[in-house]
Amino acid sequence: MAPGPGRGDAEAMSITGFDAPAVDVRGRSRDFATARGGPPRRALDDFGLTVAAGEVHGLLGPNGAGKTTLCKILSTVLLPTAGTARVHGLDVVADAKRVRPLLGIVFGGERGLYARMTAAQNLRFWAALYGHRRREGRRRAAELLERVGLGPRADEPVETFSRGMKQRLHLARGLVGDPRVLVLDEPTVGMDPVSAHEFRGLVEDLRAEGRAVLLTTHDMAEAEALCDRVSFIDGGRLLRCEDPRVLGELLSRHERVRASGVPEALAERIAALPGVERVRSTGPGAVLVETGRGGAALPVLRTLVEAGVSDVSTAPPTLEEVYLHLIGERGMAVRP
Amino acid sequence: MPAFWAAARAQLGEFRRDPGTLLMLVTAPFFAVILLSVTEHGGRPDLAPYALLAPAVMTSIGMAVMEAGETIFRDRSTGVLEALLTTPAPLAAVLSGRIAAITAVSLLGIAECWLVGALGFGIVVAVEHPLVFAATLLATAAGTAATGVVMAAVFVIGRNVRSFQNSLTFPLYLLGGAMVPVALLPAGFEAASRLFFLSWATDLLRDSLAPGPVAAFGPRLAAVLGLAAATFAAGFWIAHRLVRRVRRTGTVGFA
Ligand SMILES: Nc1ncnc2c1ncn2[C@@H]1O[C@H](COP(=O)(O)OP(=O)(O)O)[C@@H](O)[C@H]1O
Ligand SMILES: [Mg+2]
Repeated sequence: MAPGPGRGDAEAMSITGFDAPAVDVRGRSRDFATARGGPPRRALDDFGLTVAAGEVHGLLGPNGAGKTTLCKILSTVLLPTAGTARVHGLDVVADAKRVRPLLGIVFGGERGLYARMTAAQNLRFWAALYGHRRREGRRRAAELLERVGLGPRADEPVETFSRGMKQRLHLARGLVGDPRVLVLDEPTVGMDPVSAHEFRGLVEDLRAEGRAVLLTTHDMAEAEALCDRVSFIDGGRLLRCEDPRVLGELLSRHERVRASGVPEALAERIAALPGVERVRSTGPGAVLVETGRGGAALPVLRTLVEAGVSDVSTAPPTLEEVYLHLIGERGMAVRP
Repeated sequence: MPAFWAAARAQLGEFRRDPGTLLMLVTAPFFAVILLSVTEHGGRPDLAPYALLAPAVMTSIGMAVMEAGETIFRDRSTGVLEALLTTPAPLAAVLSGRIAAITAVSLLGIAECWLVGALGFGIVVAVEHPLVFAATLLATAAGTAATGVVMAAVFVIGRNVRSFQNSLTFPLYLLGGAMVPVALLPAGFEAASRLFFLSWATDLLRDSLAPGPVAAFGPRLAAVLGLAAATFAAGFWIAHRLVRRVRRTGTVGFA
């Protein structure tokens, strides 16, 4: 794991206050009891990461990796089984009361809003929970609704909103307490591409304002576009913490080509092309070509098209494949 | 404090948007008609105050138990409770705000029942000791709210608790002396009912409607207030414990 910016300084200085990293998680574990008294399920296993103020940190992992569990621990709604987590130097268990005003949390999905209240009423309610009086709550609600593009729908009940609109309202809710640290758990799930694009702009603004953002996602393109650093998590363990350019490079290096109506002889010719790692048959005449070198997909496409195959498409590698490459390349056998 | 008022406003909004939550205020006048018909035709006009007070008190405590439990249940299943726990606002402030609003609205039942007596039967039950009545009513509202807090807290734990809430109101009516003064109940019941603020409160309310002097007003009011305070304390204590428990087991939002 690469040390986070400012982490060494923070250790040298005080352990509380704003010179400490915005988020500092060490040796965090969390077990869940399973039904019928089976062995506990380990959702987080000796997990660690740091996020500096003004950093957008991506937490990338497949479903069930433990992303939400970490978000819940940071937001004080779930107690960890072992390890420490600090927000600006304050322990999320021992100092939970002082951590809460510093944090904004956006849990993905449709939950956590009053469906029958209007967007503005919802935000005013949450503003009050962060201690803002009525007038200030109104001001913040109006300002944030504009900011997330819900201004014209402010006085409509949330139950009439699309999923993406609810998601934007969640974001506004997360910001209503003016948090130093924002935890976003899969914030773009259900957003259309335009909203997702606007969302990126918003996250960049948050970074510019010096807030720390921890963003979980299973969307590699999103992580690459938005984050200053990316932590890979799987099975509750931190695989690695990387510059997102590494991710971008992996994505282009391991581009895949999918085609159908490919005779066996043609498939063999493609397998012999430079940079092609594997040609897998995915059905009668259908193949999936995996490349292992930047630009290797191009000759594959050309060969296919010249041979008269018209049903051809390219796609980035899946998260699982990127994981395998990440682990394989540096001989880091994390999973059995 | 902003959290308290925001929760109270949210609750009032809920009543407005979903009038079904006011069901008990609809049934109260019908109860009043039934009971008043019985006392009038049974030749006991002296029991008219009992007949009017009973549905009013039942509405109040019933709404506190049902609605308080309901709001928490809803907050929990919609994931709002989980979001609440991430904010700096104490859960107790939010609970009290909601329950204060519920209790305030439930007191409308008294006006309804008195109107039923006056308009339907031409019976105006006079409040002979207005100060005693007013003081007791305030203390009763506090106790009712406290009972609501206990119920709400219990509802943070379970998904199956909800099925109890309706049946739970009946022992409370009984032990609270809502309809029948607890002194008339079998001996075991009376002893138990004295631990419930409402049994003291309903006795005092009935006495305040009767012409005779009110005996030992101070100590009896103190009993109402003391038990109400103890109930509040118990409610917040349970809420605190339960929040800790769900944090540990990770089931805040029915995960
Ligand atoms: N309350 C819970 N009780 C039992 N197991 C849980 C609970 N919450 C999460 N888990 C388990 O912990 C693991 C990690 O889950 P989660 O953090 O939600 O993953 P992610 O958000 O990355 O998809 C999963 O195996 C999940 O089933
Ligand atoms: Mg998740």
